[in-house]
Amino acid sequence: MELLKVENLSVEIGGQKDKVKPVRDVSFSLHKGEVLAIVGESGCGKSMLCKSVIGLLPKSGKITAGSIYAAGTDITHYTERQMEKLRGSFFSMIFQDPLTALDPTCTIGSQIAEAIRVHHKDMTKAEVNARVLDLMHLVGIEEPQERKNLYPYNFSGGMRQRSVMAIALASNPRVLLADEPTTALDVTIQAQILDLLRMIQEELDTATILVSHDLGVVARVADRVAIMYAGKIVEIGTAKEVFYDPRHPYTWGLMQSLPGFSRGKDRLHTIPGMPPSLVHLPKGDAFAARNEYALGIDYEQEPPMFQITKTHYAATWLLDKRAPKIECPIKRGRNDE
Amino acid sequence: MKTNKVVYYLKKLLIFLVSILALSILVFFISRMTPTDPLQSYYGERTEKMSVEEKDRARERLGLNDPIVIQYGKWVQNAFHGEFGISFKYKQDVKIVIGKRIGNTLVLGGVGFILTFVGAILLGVLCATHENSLLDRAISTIGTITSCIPEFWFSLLLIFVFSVIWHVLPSSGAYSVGKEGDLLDRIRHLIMPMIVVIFEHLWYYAYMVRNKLLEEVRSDYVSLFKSVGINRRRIVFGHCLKNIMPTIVSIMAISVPHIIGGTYIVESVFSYPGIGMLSYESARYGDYNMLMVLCMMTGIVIIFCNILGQIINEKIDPRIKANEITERSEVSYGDGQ
Amino acid sequence: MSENILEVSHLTHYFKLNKKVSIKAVDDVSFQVRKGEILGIVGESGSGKSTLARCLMNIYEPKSGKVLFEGIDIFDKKAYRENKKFLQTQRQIIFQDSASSLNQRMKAKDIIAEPLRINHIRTERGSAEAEASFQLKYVGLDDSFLERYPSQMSGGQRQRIAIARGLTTEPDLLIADEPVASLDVSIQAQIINLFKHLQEEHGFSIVFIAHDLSMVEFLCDRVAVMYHGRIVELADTKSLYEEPLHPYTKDLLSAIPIPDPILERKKVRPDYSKTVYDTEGQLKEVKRGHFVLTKEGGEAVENK
Repeated sequence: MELLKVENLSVEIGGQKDKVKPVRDVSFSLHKGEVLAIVGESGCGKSMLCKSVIGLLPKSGKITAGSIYAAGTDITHYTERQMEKLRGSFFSMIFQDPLTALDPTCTIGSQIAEAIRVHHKDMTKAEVNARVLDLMHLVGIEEPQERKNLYPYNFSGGMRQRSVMAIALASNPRVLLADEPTTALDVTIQAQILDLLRMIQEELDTATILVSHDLGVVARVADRVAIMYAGKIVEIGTAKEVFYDPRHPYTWGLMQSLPGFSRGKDRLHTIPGMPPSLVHLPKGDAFAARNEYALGIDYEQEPPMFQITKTHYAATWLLDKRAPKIECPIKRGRNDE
Repeated sequence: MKTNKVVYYLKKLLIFLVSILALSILVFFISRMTPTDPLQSYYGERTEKMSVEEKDRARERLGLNDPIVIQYGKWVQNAFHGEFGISFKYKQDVKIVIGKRIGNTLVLGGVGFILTFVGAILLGVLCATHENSLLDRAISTIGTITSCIPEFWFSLLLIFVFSVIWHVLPSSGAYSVGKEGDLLDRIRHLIMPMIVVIFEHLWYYAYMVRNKLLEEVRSDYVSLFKSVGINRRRIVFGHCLKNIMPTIVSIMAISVPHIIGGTYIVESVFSYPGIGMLSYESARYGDYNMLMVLCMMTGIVIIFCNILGQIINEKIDPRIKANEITERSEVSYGDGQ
Repeated sequence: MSENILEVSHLTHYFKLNKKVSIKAVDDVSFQVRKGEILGIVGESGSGKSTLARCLMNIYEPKSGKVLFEGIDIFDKKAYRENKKFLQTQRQIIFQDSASSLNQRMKAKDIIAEPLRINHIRTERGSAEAEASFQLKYVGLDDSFLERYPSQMSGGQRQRIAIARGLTTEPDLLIADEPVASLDVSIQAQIINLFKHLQEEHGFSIVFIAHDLSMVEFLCDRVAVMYHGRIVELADTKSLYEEPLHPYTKDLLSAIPIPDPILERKKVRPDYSKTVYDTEGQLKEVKRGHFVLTKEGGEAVENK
């Protein structure tokens, strides 16, 4: 059974006048022990999707349709108190900037300890302390006995992100949501944190939702990939399917924009224009205006999800039987790299 | 490291002493330049009937005929022995006169300050946790209006309503005649002055607490702690409020003079027998000895609070903290921007 | 005139933290920028690349070293005074965060024309507005942006305005400090293409500072790799990416994740956190145009 299932979820934020729809009719599921990457440009709603799952939407935001199931239970309309019980124990979330993600005036150890005590109120001091050391060891902080008494500002960016992960893992959550966990880090440190994510996920059998804009990062850790555009998932499939057999023109565009694709060419491939504002979405497919393969129907009607394989879906009219056959512009031979 | 600290505090002490010396010179010379006749305060009505010789003799006796620099020298000499002379108006040692009154001011100013402080934090937290709600907006509006009303006018308004129309509270003094020992009576006299002292400053600080707290609540660590299931209230009180406290305290320390100044005005409107009333009288009637001591006392408190505020502020200044980091940690390579 | 527009020799800059501790942000750095080339400077945060950029713009005064711009010693007070206008108009810098480097209260047209006003330059195109409109076209925006404020634009558009401002004085040298780091992938590509266009069609020389090695590979002719304030390797892009010689460069290149799941998963990476790289020695030309930091008297780093 799915650990986490999201069905036709829609989220709205803001008042009457400037209502934004950062999540529109999104469905996906997450299985035990897998990493699902959600890829998209800034403002496509990927962070809001995570926040709505874990119940941390801003005050003006609300779920307007759809449901969220945690281990089979519908938690869409859970109260704040009920959600608090799930947070930490069922799922927890880590954020982009490790510099601000820790309380600057508390020691690392005490912050981890606080996270442990939330769901283990009956633990003794010694037990909590032992668990703190275990967690620090798990996330690769050496000499935890001394380091637990240090403050966040004594730590480098990579070490802080490790501490953040220790806090998030304190109560053994079954799902970890990671919102751009390596974007603020240097490449060598990013590589370490990604490997740590993968290691933890294998060791503890946690399922992970990784939000990222970097296809390289996604390739490193993801089992499945969902591409998001203007609040919708436009393509979802296993990593191999999405990387080697992408079907949505937006996925093509994203991959073509990477410098590796244009190696030896004079210009980088670009997706023309900009993402639409989520306040005034155009009629039809939101991507149509930037889509060089757009069909007439794209401006009239939003495409449904077409199934390609058992695991691979994409929302583009190009997959309709009546559409003209268009070759994927990305030729990925064995000699490509 | 240790000698550094000693030098640091010695410097502050030096600044303190120099400021007090400068203050005493300033007050001494300015008071003697004002066109008031000190004999007026000593002999009252009688001065008008005195002959020129009589006046001169009186001046001689009070040491007012010496050159001003010598007068100042004598004053400093006596001050070091704890002698501040007699009050011209009360014909008593100034220490005794002030001793009788200071209690009243300490109660009004001190209790007022503490209540303002506590009230500001409560109100600030209330507004911050209900940001943009009807409650927040109502409190903000009322607060802004009350802090715009001048103290004397607000005092008169209260006197008009509670003393003149409803006759429920006494309009002046610290106690009713013959009821000096009656605590309840003293409290009744204290109510209106206290209300003015508190309300004039309350919103200013409450607003500061509110905004600082809102800023702090938006930090990423709050999201992280929420995502592991820590109760929102616990985060706000246990982390956010704790983190903004040093800032608030340092600003409050710097602003003690505002509250003292406010107290003096309030005292004179309510004819409340405290230091403020005394200061006003002594300046008005040229009661030099009294004026000197009062100015010095107020000055010392203000300068002390200012320096205290500075010290607290420097302690929490992130740049100073940042310097410490680079000294201590191994990951010290700053980009230096 | 030499073929180098910029010659940097033994540039060193310290930041004093307090009386005892200072940080060498730029440490004995030497390189040249040829006319019409794009030189990439890559390094991780704290490697000193931004400080270097600021030294080149006279924003920081370095502790020692020499920088010749078109033969003028920019740190020589007399030479600087005499050539002030030339130096101010012929070098321009573009910062990473255009949201904070553009004045929020100015319209795009005023932002773009500001360098002209400050330097009292008569515009070729009549009015300042005509000039602004011309520059906008140059960076691929239309006239509707003239009247807009920075807050009414997207990140990519703001970055274009920042570039347009840099271009108004028709400089010979552009220094771009992480100009695409805060932009989305598809917008990054647009800006990178713009830089390429400026170089190829209009002959700008560009110093392109970035941490994204794959963008640098695409855009730059030569690349310098910085580590702890030093340049550890400097070479033609092709040579550097195909045959990195310094161990730091090798690790840096291997750390970039490539968007190919099968290849990426196969990669085994060393534990970078344990490695401290040597910053002793001098740059030595190992191959034609390929310099590597080599210890005094020691052999050039072995290429295994």
